[in-house]
Amino acid sequence: MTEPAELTSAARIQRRPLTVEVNYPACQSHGRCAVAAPDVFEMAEGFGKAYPEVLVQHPTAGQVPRVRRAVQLCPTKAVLLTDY
Amino acid sequence: MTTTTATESQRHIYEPGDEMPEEYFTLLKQVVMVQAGIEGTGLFTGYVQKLGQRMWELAPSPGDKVRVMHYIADETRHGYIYYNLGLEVGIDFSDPKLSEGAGAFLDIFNYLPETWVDLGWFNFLGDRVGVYQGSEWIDSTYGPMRRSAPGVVNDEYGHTAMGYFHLKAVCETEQGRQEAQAALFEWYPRVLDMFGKSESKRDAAYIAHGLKQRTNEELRQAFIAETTPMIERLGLQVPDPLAGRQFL
Repeated sequence: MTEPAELTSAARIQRRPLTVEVNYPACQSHGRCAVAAPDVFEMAEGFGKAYPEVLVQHPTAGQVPRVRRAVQLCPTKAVLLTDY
Repeated sequence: MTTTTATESQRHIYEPGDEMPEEYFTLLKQVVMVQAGIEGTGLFTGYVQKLGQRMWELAPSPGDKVRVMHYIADETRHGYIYYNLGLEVGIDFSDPKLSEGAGAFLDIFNYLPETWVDLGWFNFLGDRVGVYQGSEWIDSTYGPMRRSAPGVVNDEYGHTAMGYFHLKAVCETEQGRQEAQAALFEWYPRVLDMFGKSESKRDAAYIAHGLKQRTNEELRQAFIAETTPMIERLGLQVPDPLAGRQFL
């Protein structure tokens, strides 16, 4: 790993609030998101199959690692997080 | 026309290339014709393209655009499935009725959603009807129908969930809730009409031959019973199921 270049002038990328979404047409109801982050996703019944409802659209810093795990675990890449 | 008993045709799964009773073939062709007319023609008449353009324009956020474009990809694939099934049973896609497109078969397709709320109902309720219709073919006596139906129904579940959660977000404000209620009064009769006439002359024959499992009215009543509590959970009033209907 190389060292960061010496700063001759400074810039900073502004952190945006993270947003969690589900791409429902892609979702196959595996429910792994609700297992990884049960405080963010809850499987909602009533559609013939259960689909994850997003309980917290903007997760807290404490929730973010679990949401990232949900993104990784979703077999159909249906969990969207606005930062990768 | 050769006749066959209901039990005889229910027991047998017909495949392309099989000899089948003429009466069965006539009914099968009608079922496929309607579905090819609704979904297969979308590839040629430009309906899917128009709907996709409209959905893209109405989607309020980039995430919404991701969802609606996935939806259009699914529907394009469904069109291809039913186009091929149509060709297989000898449907002529140059038939003038087919060139009129989906609206000639189901009135709801004569209405392109005008707002994001319209689209919510179109997906939540309209695609939910797709679940009911497609589920009828999972046990069809025609092999290609029973093989293609599970995948299509699986997609329609996701489409209906997409519509519901779009509406749920809209209904979080009083203004949104009012818009959703007003749009529901317009879309509800169109959606219920998608099941067809209650006194369909062909229902009994379709069921006897295993091409459908339930009557139009049985499907409509099951749909109403299932969706009513979901609509009420959005804080909305379910319209009178007979109001504004064209096909009773």
